[in-house]
Amino acid sequence: MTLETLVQLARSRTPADRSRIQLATAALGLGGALLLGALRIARLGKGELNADIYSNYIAESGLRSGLVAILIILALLTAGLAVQALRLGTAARERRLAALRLAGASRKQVRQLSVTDAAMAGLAGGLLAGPIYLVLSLLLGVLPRMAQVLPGAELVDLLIWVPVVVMTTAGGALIGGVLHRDQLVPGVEGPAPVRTGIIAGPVMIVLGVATVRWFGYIASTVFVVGLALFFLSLAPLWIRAIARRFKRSGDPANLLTGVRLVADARPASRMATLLACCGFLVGSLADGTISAVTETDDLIDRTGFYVTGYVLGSVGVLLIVLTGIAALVVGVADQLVDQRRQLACLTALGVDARFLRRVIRRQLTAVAAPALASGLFLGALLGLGRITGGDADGLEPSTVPIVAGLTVAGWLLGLLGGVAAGFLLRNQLRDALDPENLRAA
Amino acid sequence: MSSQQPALELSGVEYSYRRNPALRGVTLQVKPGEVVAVTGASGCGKSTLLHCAAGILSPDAGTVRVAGQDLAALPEDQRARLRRTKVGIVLQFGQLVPDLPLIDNVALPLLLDGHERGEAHESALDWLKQVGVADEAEAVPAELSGGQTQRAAVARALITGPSVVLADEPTGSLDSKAGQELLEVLLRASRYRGSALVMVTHDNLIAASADREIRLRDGVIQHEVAL
Repeated sequence: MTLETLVQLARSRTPADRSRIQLATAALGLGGALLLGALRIARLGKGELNADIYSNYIAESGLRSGLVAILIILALLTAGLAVQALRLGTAARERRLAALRLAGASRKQVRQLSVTDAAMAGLAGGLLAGPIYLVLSLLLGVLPRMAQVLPGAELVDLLIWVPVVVMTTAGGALIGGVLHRDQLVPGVEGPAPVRTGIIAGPVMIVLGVATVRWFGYIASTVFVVGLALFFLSLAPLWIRAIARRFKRSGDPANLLTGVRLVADARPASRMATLLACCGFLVGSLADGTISAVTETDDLIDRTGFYVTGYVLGSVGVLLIVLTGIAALVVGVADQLVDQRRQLACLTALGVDARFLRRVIRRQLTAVAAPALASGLFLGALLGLGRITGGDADGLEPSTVPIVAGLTVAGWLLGLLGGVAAGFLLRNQLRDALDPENLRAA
Repeated sequence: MSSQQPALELSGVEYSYRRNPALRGVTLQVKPGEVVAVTGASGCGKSTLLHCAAGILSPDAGTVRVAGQDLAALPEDQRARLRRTKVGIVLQFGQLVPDLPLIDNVALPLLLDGHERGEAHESALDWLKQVGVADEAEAVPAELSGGQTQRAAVARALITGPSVVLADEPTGSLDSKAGQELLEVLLRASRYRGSALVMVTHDNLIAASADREIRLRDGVIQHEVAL
């Protein structure tokens, strides 16, 4: 296959495919911008800087490295979004790949197409990263000095942009390669993945918490990786358990919800992991800020500092949560298009759009609400202090209502996401139930 | 390939979907240029036989040889190349790449084989003319009728001059007139290329146009009739 053919075949042509790539490009662009920010701040060096010019988060060398770490974590989370975006439209893409395989494409060639497709999104994202960073730094520049956590770009940053473009392109290619599936005959599931994370995850969590006083950020990293691994391995089992419970119900809406959750278990569990990790970050940040605000002696001087940090961190993570829910909604919309024929069959059984909306709402809330709530619960319970080794005291009684409040807030946000999704997808639901779809091949 | 060598040879092929056997020791030889119709009730293993012959499915037991090459002995890349160059596949709904224009769809096996775009398009246009849809070269499959996409699928199957063309219910999605026309195109085009043609069909009229009919029942050949 020539390079021209490779690019030609990998290029997205359908509107659905284009929106998939646009979403992935935007996610990788944002990730690239955050990475650019991390590199820009790292370029400032290790010494103390003038606090009259820079935000305290940048001026103090200890905080600077923490800010760089947070930007990198946020960049990785947005890469998670790109993964989800690239997974959209699975059924349609698998049909396309099956058609290519029937035309004689080898596995290697099909893999090359998947990699090229994602790499092009990464390249576009990397090129967008520069302008996105500029816009973000200008927007933050309008805020008080404490909130100016992204320093303005300089001419020399153009040189940093180049490796970021390379990194996002390579990241895209890596995601494309990892996501690639080349089943020639659709519908035959591969072997179930090994659930090592269920054992390894908690071991790493305990190890991280137990050794954080001595090993600092290394132990914190072990903890965070263990937690992500645990969520990632547990989520599919959790989704399937919920689905089984729904399927046993006498309520037809629950039954259909269960069936759809089983059919959509993989993307749903990935999104549950992402939401749980975001919830964990918000929960631990909230706990850390509240303890700092309530315990610090020079409260008046430092409140602005902590509140700024928490608000900026939370806004960043909240944006990811909202985009994550949006990706979940787009995924469901895509699933509706793919299953329109089966859904249209339900019309014959008297199913109307209102009923299907209830099903979709339950399908989404069953994923989002427990994921967000459990992430927030664990984050707030363990707290930033315990994770970073600063404070490992027992649970304060005053923390209990905060943990409970955040857990309930996470659950409500998940429910709200489900209701909003039902509303946003109302037209797709009506279209999916159209009896005309019965004629669709 | 020597003139005596079968275009397609299946020997003792077995295949099961989980624990349900679909093929139970099927042995079959198809000579170059021969037209074979595979008939039988739904679920008797016709499509599975075709998928095994195409290398889409790997048999649990037995061997499949295309133009003398044992498919199981080839690494995946070479098997794909063999499927691209020696086997043409036509399925019930065409299975064209939905977002590619017809000309690219037909040229696809050549493009995947590393041919230059211009050269591949020239050849594809020739084939689109032969099957009567050259005017629709720039249209995508969704803009065309079932008969037109099936004609393009025939052109795609034959563009590399395969040893054997495997057609699974090629006229199944068409009305009788369009079906008859497609069958004529398929027979004419494969004879022009000298390719063997194996058609899975429920239609007795289509089966009657073959040189030989093989009837499958419960995964075994029930009988063979020379027509």
